[in-house]
Amino acid sequence: MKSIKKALMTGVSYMLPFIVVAGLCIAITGIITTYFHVESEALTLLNGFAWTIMGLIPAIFGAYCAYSIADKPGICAGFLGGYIAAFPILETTKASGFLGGLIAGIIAGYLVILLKKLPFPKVIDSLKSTIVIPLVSTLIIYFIMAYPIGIVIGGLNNAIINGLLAMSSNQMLAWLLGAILSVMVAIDMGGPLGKIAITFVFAVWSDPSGLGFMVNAAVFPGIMVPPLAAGLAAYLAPKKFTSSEKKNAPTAIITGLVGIGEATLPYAFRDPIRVIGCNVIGAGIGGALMMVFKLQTPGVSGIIGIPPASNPLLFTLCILIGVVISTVLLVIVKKPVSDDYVQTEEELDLEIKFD
Amino acid sequence: MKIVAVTACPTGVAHTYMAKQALEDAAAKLGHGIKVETQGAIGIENEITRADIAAADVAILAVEVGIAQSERFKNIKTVNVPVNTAIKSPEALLRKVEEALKNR
Repeated sequence: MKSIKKALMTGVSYMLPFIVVAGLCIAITGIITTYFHVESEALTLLNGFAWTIMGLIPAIFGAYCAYSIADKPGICAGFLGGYIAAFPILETTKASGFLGGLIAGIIAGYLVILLKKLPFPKVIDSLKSTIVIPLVSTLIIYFIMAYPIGIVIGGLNNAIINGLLAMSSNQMLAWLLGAILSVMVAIDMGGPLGKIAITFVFAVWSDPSGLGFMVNAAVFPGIMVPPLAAGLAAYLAPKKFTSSEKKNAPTAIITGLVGIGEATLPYAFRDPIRVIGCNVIGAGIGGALMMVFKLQTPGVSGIIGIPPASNPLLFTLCILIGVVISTVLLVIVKKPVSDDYVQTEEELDLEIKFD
Repeated sequence: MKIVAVTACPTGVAHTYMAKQALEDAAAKLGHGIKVETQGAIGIENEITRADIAAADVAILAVEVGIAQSERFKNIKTVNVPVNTAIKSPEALLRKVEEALKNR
């Protein structure tokens, strides 16, 4: 378990710069295009490039999760497995996001450890690290991610979307649909559940009833509340956050404003139940309110969705309400980070084992 | 006791450097020699060389992420601790390590 947590942290550590770059490029190009009404092929290309970076993030995550477990030889299979998580192979399978990347990275890591132990005659020992380990590990990961994992996520995807479609035809349950979609996006911060919710939004995008733009509005709190709440809470309750979390707060807030939720991950990993719980409550309420007020937006993500919204003021208000609720909950519920300086070796509960 | 150490935390901007400072202060106070390499967001700083390792008695890895070039520490007694242990209880940590070395 401990090495899985370490793998997770390593993956996050290496993928963070990519998230920052992708987020800021999307932000800057989006803001210039939308607010300054500049039409430019250069901006569109840069924007597209930034989205490509986002697509690579599960691959980077998988690569360095595997690196943490198996060192350099793990990177190849980890990266490629994570890549499949973002860009599935079979037509009926669906993307599993960074969670798929995590699974790929962990499996790749332990697989490579196993392969390293294979006995090889000394003569061809160099073949082991140059050909055998990369090829065998990648092919095995390919089969696992393309087929079983992809199919499971694909099945999950279809089941959930059919359920959501059934719910969307019932006007009385609109608020519940909004809440569920928003919660799905908030709960895994870029993982498969959120991706399924977004797939549903695209599935009904062109529905004549305008449902597509309505459910699109509903997921905005799901995307924006977690990073904004985490970042703001770190400022408001400094005693309850570690220095890393406080230093990460500006990144979380800025990328959160442009609709990137991944910067919440470090906060969620350190204190999962409290952080995810509080985020989900605020996001759910925000999503429900969006549907109740029948708000729509064709915007893609983040604050870029505000100007084209059917009622920009109310739209912003719903997001703000979600952010405020989650921030307040986080500030109340989180425990202070202890600063005790342990003096004596008797008080230090640690057994020294030499590796 | 001569120590080499590496500190590394996920975000790599705060705890990594706090741990380095804590270990250096504790070592100075207790009279041990220490060289601390950090692997923060910016990469390796104050890199520990093979010569440093050959001259040292023990390596302390206060890390929460997989570190680069971990093969350097294959032939030296290594202690793995969470970064927070180095920050909060550096003196107790060093005393425990010294004790464990003596008892080997």
